[in-house]
Amino acid sequence: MRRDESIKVAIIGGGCASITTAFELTRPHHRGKYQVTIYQVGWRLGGKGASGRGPASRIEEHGLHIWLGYYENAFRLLRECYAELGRDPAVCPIAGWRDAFFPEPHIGLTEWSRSGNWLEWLAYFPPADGLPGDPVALNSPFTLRSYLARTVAMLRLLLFHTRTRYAPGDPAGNTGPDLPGWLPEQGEPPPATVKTVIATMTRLLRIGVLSSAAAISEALGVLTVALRSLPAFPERLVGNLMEAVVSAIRGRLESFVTEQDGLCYKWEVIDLVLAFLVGAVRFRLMTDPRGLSAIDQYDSREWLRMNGASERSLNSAFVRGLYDLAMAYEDGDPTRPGLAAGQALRGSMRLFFTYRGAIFWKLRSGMGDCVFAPYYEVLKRRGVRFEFFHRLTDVKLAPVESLGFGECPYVEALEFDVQAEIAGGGEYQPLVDVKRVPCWPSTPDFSQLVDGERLRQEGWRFESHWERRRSRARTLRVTEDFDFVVLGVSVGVIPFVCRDILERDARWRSMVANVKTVATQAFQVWMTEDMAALGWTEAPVTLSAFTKPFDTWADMGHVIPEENWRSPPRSVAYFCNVLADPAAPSDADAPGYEASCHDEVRRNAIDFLNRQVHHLWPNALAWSGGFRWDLLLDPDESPSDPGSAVAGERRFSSQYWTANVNPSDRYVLMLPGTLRCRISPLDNTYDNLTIAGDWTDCGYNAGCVEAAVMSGRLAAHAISLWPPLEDITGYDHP
Amino acid sequence: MDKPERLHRPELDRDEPRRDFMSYIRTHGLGGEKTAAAPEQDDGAPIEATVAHGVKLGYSVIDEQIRQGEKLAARLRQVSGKPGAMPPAELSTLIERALNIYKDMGALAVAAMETLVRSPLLQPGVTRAWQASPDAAAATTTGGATNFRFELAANRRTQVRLDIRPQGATFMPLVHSLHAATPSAPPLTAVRFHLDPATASPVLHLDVPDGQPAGVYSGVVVDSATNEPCGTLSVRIMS
Repeated sequence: MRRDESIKVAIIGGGCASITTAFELTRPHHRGKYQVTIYQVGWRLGGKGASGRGPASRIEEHGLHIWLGYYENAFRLLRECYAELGRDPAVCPIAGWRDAFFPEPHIGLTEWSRSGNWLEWLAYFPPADGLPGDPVALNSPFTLRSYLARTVAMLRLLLFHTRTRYAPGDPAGNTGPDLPGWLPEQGEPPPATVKTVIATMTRLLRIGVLSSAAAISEALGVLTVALRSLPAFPERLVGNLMEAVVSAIRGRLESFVTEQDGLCYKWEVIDLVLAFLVGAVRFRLMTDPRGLSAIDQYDSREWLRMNGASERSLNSAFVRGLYDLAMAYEDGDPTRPGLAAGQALRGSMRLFFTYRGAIFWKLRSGMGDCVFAPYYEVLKRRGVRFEFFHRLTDVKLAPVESLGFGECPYVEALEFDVQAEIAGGGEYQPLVDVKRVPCWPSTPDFSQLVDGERLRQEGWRFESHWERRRSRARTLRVTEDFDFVVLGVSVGVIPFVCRDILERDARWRSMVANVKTVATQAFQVWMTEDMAALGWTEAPVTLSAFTKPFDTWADMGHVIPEENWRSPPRSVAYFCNVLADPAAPSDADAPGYEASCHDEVRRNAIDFLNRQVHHLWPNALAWSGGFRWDLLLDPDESPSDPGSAVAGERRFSSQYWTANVNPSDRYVLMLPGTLRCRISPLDNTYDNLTIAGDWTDCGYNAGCVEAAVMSGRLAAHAISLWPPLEDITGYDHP
Repeated sequence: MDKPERLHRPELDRDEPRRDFMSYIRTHGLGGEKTAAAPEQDDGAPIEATVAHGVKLGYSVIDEQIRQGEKLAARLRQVSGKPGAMPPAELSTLIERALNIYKDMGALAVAAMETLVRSPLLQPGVTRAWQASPDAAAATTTGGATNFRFELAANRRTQVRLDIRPQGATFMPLVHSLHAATPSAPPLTAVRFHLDPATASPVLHLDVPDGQPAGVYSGVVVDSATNEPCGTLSVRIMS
């Protein structure tokens, strides 16, 4: 490598992965070796996680963002970012990461009951040791034997422990209801040696069928110890005992079903756990070098069905919630669910068994405010340049005939549309202050742009894929303007900007064809009555597996103090789900497609509020039927002028909704059989190009913040050999 | 003025995660891996004794497993006649699943034995088990070498990947030349397997000529006795 000057890195896109790569490459220990420039379409960072402040400084998101308690890489880097930022708590209310996030121990699922109602199924997950992003302790928990042992232990608890209800305010948090997620450390058999465990196995296997509850319970305990002791055990022996236990439990479950209707949900969870245990043995997942990826060609339901799960369990709220969480509906069609089994199991194991602090962490404010503004400020301090209003149009490869003997292909030029020029030629200043917190606005600051007032009046939509107006074209050239390229745009954008690569490279064509994305829809409402008055008497919750077209709801009342209302709302609710793609793909190219999708979401939301939301909020139903539209708070409405009020469902126009149909905004799916088509940021086919995003083969191939951060760290490793791969938590994982 | 030198991405030690549970049991984050190749005995007993015990036990319980399955099926049939019991279709499905599970377990048992006998660490225990159990020995007919040694002669960075399904105990792999996707690139011909008489295990020998174009070269590995394909060998030569 050239040693005499810094290395110029062009990062395209400003989402989680790109920001992470920039953060890694500009760490102080690199001593300024990498000179990073981020090229961003429009006026704000964040990608699919971007948020903005709208009327009344209300927070407007792409969708619902919740960080899970196992997002080790994401939390770790963000904690480092806040530490480096060093905000003064007396000056900024979001000064540290604990100000930005708070634990959410509840998960809600809904089930359609036989009596024709939606029943809520709320689970409390007690605090787990540590906090996400803490150093990984000795004896990494990310092993299948650890997961299996915990699964068996959970099974024992499900089967034999008396049901206890969560007591609000219990500081110990040890009295959770009987759902997966807590670790039944109490009641474990005493520490055992290999010999004693084998002896116990022998006895249990020789007493005939494990017909008594005590025998099954004991066997489960032995299995727990045995699985923890792998690989010191022959796999078959453990498998034999597991099989005996599974058979006995299935026999026992039958009495659950026939005698205790109220415990049907218990049957479903146990049935799924049994299917997983049987499948883990049948598919030899414990020893397969591909780990759980060995079953990624199967759909999750299909794989669980193959291993004995009943149809009722496969359609339970638990499984539906898993699909909803992953937006796992091909083309947005609820009748076409698809979720790669290995990744789904990996995600479930991580979710239930490796969370730290809390299973969910909610953001105190907008994702942009809590995550991307701090990163922006730190990266600016480190000398990163930000080129906003830059839309990538083409990645040009060096011609094949120009390559030397044995020379790898490389990126020769990057072509952009410069959407707007910055007045005075300086750098665009993107943040605004809301209650002493640096935030991103929902619209650009036109006053900073050359001819900005004209652009505003003409309605330039800088973030829209279909907005092609520009100020000028710009070309960056290798060695002159960049040495390395990090392509951090989403996979949906690749067909439009990587024509050379797609023409030459069959792997990239396969990736684009198979790594599919789905449009999403979301809406937010601000209301004049609190949740209790609306009829929701449970704790604030994030609830999934609800009815379409909005299967996920989060009570977001906690953001109200962060916004700037003259008369604050009493409650805030976010809803989201997939959005069905048009039947004919060509529709997406038609004029007005984006606007028609936007209007479709508005109609979906109004219909949902009129017809469905009363299942959650019974008091939101007007006596004459339909939603009480007067509940909605209009930020532009003057309390002193009641005559300005808009009545009826037209009031919904004052709320916020979005159709995420831009190729860069579409959610990346984990369809069965497609994960092998992903390409790793470590792939070295192109000499000066790497990729980053939750669509890459990053070790955790799911559409989420953690995957994007892992991918961003891998991209940094591909360029700088830092961080070490072993330092990317969860990359080496079954 | 000369054009500035174009930079190249650094070469990486690896480009994919370790998914095999045997390889990522780490002592801590940054490196320092402790592989599971040497399982530690927590009670001081020799590992081979435990394995021998395990193998014997495995065979002794297989009949027990079948009896359990029969009892389970019988019990389910009894239950099916009671009021409020499972529908017959679901009952049949359960029985069928149970039978399938036992069938799978049988296959797993064979596979587990294969794993056992291939592990040099566990072989003493397996040997003792066989000596103690003629039935067990008779039931296990497959096994083979999986420990390959590599002899690589190259002046450039080269990655070698051998994906192979071991055959019988006398298995000796054979590979001819390795070819690149580009027809113009000459094949790699200096590649062969030979047997190391000291360890009785195959050795892959590969010479990479200095002028060999960069790229990926691959070929099929066959069983030298039967000519049946049993794996692939790919070599990535860096530029």
